[in-house]
Amino acid sequence: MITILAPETTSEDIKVIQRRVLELMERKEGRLLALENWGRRRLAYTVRKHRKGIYLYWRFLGHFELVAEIERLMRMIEKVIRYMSILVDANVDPNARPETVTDEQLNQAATIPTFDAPEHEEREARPAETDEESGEEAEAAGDESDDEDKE
Amino acid sequence: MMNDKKPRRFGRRKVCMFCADANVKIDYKNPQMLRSFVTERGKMIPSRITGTCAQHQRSLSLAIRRSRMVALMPFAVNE
Repeated sequence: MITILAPETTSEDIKVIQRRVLELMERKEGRLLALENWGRRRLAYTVRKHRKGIYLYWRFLGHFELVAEIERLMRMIEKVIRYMSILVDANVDPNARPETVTDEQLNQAATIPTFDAPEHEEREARPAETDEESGEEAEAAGDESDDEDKE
Repeated sequence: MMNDKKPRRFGRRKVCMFCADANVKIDYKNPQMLRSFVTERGKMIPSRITGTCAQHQRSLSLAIRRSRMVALMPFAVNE
């Protein structure tokens, strides 16, 4: 999942958002795999009258209820000017994805890199995303026992 | 009269960039890479021009559309 925050968002605001998302994940048995802050970037077009935005990149495991809840939360937080969740893999075995996010990484993601428009960093190779277009509403099909990996 | 057909030109056969190099991943998070498959105005370039194969063109267009959703790439560029 990618969220774009308003450019004036502070580190404290980001921490609050982190906390609320993590709370949700705990309640819905999801797990955050990675969280990155791409810094304050120029947007390709204006989003809610903002020309710049702070990008947060989340990778998480969770059922579709969790995804729905997180998207609901994103709509409620005013600092979030855009979000998009994408199904990376369906029916993931949670044990096959052992990575977790440490407190240190959370703090790091809360601090906004000072440089403007950082170069995109290459992420580790990932299984190809196999889903259809999911604009703002990611479709998460799957039954109760499935785990989906969302970013 | 009968010969008003344009002569057919055959150039070098274009080969799909993603088939040729498996290291290049189509990723909506990488607008720099996607940029070479859209025009300056931001429109996608057809595979008939770029030589991308159908499979990769599909994932490419999906990636471009996603990239646009999160404002990493423009929908349209007005000069």
